[in-house]
Amino acid sequence: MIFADEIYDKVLYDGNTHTSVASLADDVLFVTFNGLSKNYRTCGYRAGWLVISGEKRHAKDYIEGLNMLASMRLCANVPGQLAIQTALGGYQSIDDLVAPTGRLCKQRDLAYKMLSEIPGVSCVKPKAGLYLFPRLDPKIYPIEDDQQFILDLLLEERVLLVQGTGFNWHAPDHFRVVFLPNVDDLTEAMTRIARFLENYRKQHSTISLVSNTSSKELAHKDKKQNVQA
Amino acid sequence: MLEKSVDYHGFQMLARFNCMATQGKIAHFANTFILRVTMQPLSKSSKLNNVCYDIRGPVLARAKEMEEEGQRIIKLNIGNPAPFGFEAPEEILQDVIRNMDGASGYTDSKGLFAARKAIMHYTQQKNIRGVGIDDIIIGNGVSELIVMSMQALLNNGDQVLVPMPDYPLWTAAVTLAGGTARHYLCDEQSGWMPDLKDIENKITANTRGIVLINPNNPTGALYPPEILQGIIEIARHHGW
Ligand SMILES: Cc1ncc(COP(=O)(O)O)c(C=O)c1O
Repeated sequence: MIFADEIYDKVLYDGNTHTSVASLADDVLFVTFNGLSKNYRTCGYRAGWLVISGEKRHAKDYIEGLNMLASMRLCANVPGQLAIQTALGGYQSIDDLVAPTGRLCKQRDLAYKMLSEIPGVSCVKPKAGLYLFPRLDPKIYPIEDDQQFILDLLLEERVLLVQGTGFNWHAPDHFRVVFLPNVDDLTEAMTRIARFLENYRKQHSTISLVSNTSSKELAHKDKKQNVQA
Repeated sequence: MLEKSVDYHGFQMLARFNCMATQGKIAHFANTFILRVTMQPLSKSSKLNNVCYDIRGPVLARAKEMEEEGQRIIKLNIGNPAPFGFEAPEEILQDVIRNMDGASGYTDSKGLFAARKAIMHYTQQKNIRGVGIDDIIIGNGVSELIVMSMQALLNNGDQVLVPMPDYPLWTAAVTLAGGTARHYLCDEQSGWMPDLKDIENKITANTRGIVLINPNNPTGALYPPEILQGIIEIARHHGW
C-alpha cells in the first residue's frame, strides 16, 4: 500500500500543480494524508485527515484496525474540525502567498539565492513547501557530526536550524532551512549562516580549496538547475 | 529527569495511600512509609529506544536555555507559520468562533459530517475516485494519523519504505509500531526524485508499503506523474 503525505499540496511555486498519487490508480490501496496546518497556516488548530482510496477489498481488517484506534481516542479536537469546511471551500489565500509577488515565494527566492552564493553550498530550488535542504561540499566543510555543527552555529550566531541527519539523511553534509521569516529577518539569518561558514572555512583552512573548486562547483550547480527546469 | 520520575512515582504512591487513608485505615502508616521508601529509577519504555525526533531535539533544548538567558535567536527549525506573522484566514477564524457553541461534545470518532463532506469534495477536486464519508478519518493533525496508521498496520519485524531524507515522524512512527523503516534514496542530482531502483532494491518479503512525502519536506521537491506511476507500478507488482 502507498501512504501519501500531501500536507503541502497547495504550497506550490512557479505555477506548478500537484498530482495526488491516489488519483492515478484504482487497483492499489492508498492512504492519503492532508490537513489545515500548512495550506491554511493553522498548525495550532490540529486539524488533519486521512483518506482511504483505491483497492480496499483485501484491506477490511486493516481498515477495522484504523477505525478501532480512532474510536479509542474518541474524536479529534472539535474546534479544529470546525475550521475544515470553511477552509476547503473558501477563498484560497495561500495562492496569493505563493504567487511570484507573494511573501512565501519572495522569501524562497531570497533564501535560495543567498544560500547558493555561499562557497561550497549548493541547493536544489524548492518547487513547493516551506524548506530548503542545502548541501555542504564535504571537501570544504569536513563535518563529522552535523548535530555538533548545528549547535556551534547556534552558539556562535544564534540561528537555529536542523541538521540533515535529523531527517534520516545518511551523511553529515546537509541541513534544513525554514524560509518563513520576513525578508529582513531572513536576510539577517542568511548573513549569519554565511559568516559562520566563512569562519568554519578559515578554521579548517579550506579557503584555498574554495577557489580551486569554485568553477567545478558552479558547473555542478548549472547541471542541477537544468534538471530542475 | 530522574528526579521528576521519582517524584511522579512518589505522587502515585501517595495518591494510593491517601485513598486508603480516607477509608480511615492507615493514615499514620502512610505518612511514615512514604518518607522511607526508596524509589526505583523509572525508565522510558524500550519501545522508544530507537525512536528519534530531532526537530524538537537537544539543540532546541539548548536554544531554549539561551532564550531564557535573554538572547534572541532566529529560529529556522520548524515549519510553524504563525509566529512569523502568517495569520489564519479571517473567514476561518470567524466561522470557528461562530460555531464554538456546538463544539463541547465529542463527535463521531471519524469526525464531523460536514467537515468530512468537505474533505470528500476536496478528494474529488484532486481526482481521487470512489471516496465516501466513511473512508475519511479526521485527526488531531496529520501527526496523530501517521502514528495511528502505522500502529494499525505493523507487526514486529515488518518493514516500511520511507524516503531519505524524510519528515522524521514517519520513521519514528514506524519504529514505535514495532516496524523497521527502510530508507530509500531521493536523489539530489535529479532534483530529489525518489530513486525507483533503490526502492526496488530495498523491498523484502516483510515490506508492507511505501511512504511518499509529496510535496516534500525537507527537500521542496514536487513529484511528476511519471515518478508517481513508477511507484504505483512497484506497489502493484509486489501486491501491496
Ligand atoms: C511532511 C509533514 N507531514 C506531517 C506534518 C505534521 O502536520 P500536522 O500539523 O497536521 O500534524 C508536517 C509538519 O511539519 C510535515 O512537514
